[in-house]
Amino acid sequence: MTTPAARPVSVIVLTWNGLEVTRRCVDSLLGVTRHPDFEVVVVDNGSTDGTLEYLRGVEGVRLVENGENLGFVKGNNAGIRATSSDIVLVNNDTEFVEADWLSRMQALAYTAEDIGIVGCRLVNADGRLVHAGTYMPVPSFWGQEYPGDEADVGQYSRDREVDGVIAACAYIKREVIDRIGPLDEDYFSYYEDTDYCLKARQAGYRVFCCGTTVWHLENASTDLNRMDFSAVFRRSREVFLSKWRGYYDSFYTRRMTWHSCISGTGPYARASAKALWALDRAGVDVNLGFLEGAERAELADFRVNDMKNRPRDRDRPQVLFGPPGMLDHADGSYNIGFVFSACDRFVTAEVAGMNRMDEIWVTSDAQRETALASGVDRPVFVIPLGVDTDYFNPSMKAFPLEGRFTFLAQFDWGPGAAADTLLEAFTSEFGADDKVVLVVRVDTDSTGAEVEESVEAMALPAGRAPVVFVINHDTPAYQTGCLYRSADCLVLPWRARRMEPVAAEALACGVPVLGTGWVLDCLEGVEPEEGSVMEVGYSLVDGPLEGTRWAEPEPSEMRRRLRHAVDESEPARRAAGRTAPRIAARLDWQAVADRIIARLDAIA
Amino acid sequence: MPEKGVDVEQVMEEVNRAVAAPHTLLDDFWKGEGPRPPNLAFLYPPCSKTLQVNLDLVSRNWEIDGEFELGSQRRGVAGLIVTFKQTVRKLLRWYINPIVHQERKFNMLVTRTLCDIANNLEAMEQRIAGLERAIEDMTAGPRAEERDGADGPGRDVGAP
Repeated sequence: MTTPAARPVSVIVLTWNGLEVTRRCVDSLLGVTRHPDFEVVVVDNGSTDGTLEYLRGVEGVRLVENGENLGFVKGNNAGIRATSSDIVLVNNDTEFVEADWLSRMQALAYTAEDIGIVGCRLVNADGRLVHAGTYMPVPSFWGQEYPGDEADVGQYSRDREVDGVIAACAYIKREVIDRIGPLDEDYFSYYEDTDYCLKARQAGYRVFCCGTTVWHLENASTDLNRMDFSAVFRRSREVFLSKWRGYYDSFYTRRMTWHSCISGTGPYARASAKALWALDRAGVDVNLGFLEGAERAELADFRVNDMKNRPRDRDRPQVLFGPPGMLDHADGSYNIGFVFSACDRFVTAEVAGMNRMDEIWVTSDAQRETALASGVDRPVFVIPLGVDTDYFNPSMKAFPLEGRFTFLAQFDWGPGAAADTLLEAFTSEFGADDKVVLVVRVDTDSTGAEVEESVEAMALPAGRAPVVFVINHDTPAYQTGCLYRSADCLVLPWRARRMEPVAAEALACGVPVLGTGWVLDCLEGVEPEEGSVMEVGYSLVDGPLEGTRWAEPEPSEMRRRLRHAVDESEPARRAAGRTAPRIAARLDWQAVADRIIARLDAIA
Repeated sequence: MPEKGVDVEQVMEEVNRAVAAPHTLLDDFWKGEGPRPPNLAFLYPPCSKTLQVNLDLVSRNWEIDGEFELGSQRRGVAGLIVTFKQTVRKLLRWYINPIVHQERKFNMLVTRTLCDIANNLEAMEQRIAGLERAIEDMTAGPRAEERDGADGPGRDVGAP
């Protein structure tokens, strides 16, 4: 058996005018790619702008001339028929910058016998990641790509199984072609790649997206040849639906309704979107409802938006994920309150609402104890909030400060954060000569002037290590992993518990965390490597509502832990790096979806 | 749909600059007083809210009060000292209070003027944005017609 690196492979480039992009594509293919056994086959669909003349003069290129525009599908099939080895379909508007891109894709394809097709990350001319796999929102069937349109910050950089990949750069094993044939010529362009991936999956193959990156100037042929993108797209969609609607009808094997505050950008909306994606991938037909906000609002998230447009069905198990006060919206035949408390008790009115549910879900064992201690008499189950390991992992880009140990703290300005304790501990412990900085990311409803005034009133000592407040910088949520990775230690100076699993997300990025045990309960079921979590002692003090308490970090211990974090920074980093895979295994959203499904099955 | 906001890379660049040269709104005040300022920096989003933050701070601080609470740190004689201060205050009230009143009035007018300027600025920005949109619509019209009327080789498609 030949080794994966030695397998022959034909890179098939389809062109139809676009001399400049073709030149860049071919030049980079021949100049950058390092692979022991590959050939470049260019299939020309009747270019008239000098592309053919250029290609005839390029050494190392095998040219297939179709003489006319056969379209994307027939054009590529001509290339497939002209070769006998594995192939990589490549658009002429791609450019290659990583020497091992082909070797990596091929190696991934041969890590398992049942991997049939491998795509890769595609980054456009603006440096934005436009493709890392595809998915099909139902019922709109308007095919989408991960992640849509985000700056390339290292997300989706691990090799992972996906529903489909686009044919702008796709490695296809020859055995797949032998088994299911070439691309379906019922399509002229668009949807043929999704169709092909579905066929491969039905034949028992899996589709992967490789972490390697290729540049892709999208729709170059469409633009250069001034064709009507929409009309071709719509025609192909109709063909696709005629072939695959039945498959999607039978794809969903379980049903549920999910009510939440989904329209905004708050923690419930963010966590809901991640949970719903994971459930959708796992074959749960989710019917989406709103706990607040406009019911008819169109959501930016295509997949979630489609769930909103599915017909209502009150017979499904209904999850209400939101503040306990909103459980009154329950109108299903089996209602589940998925709730959270920032303090050590749910208040009486909240408990009354929870006791009207059929069962209660909470995010951790500590929350379960809180619910039971508050007088909840319904069955209480733990469903942790997950971590999106495509966005929180050690490969996310980092922008560290040179020569300074960076503490990062983030909170909403208010009594729920022990900002005073942290600032006093930090400025007491570190002098101007210490190469450290505390970056405090603050969100506040007002302009931020009250932050300046409050900090001034603290009369912090002069000439100490610097503290930088980053106020109301609305950084995109998908870059939060980058922010954590840019720090050496994440500090959680909170009195209130936070619903978001911030500690787990930082550890998933390989960044140590420092905080009270009170706020580390999101690490539910994960045993962190020793040294990656620096716990600060605390005492319970009166909370914001009568009868509730929350945690006050112990100032002197906070000081000691901050110093310890600097002194032991390297071991802590290594320990956090070893904790990251444990987080991924236990708290990835897909693992959380499996727990939800287990609960749904039990209810059924 | 791309998420709006400030990229983390940009935030960290700002932090880097702030660590190298910290600056707060109160720096000038501290320099005048003699002691070194706390090593603090407050960063706000670009194009942003700095004007609003300054206005907010001005609004919070324009109202000065000559009748602040009197006290003393000296044990034993604190009561005596406070009584003395109260007496001095009473004796000087005829002189200080009119000045405080003038200062309050001036601060109030300046604050109100700054708020007016900021509101006018915002209204003007909105008007400019509206005009820019109108210009875009006008220029987009002919381009769309040109595109719709085109009948080049683009009836068929090669690659998406």
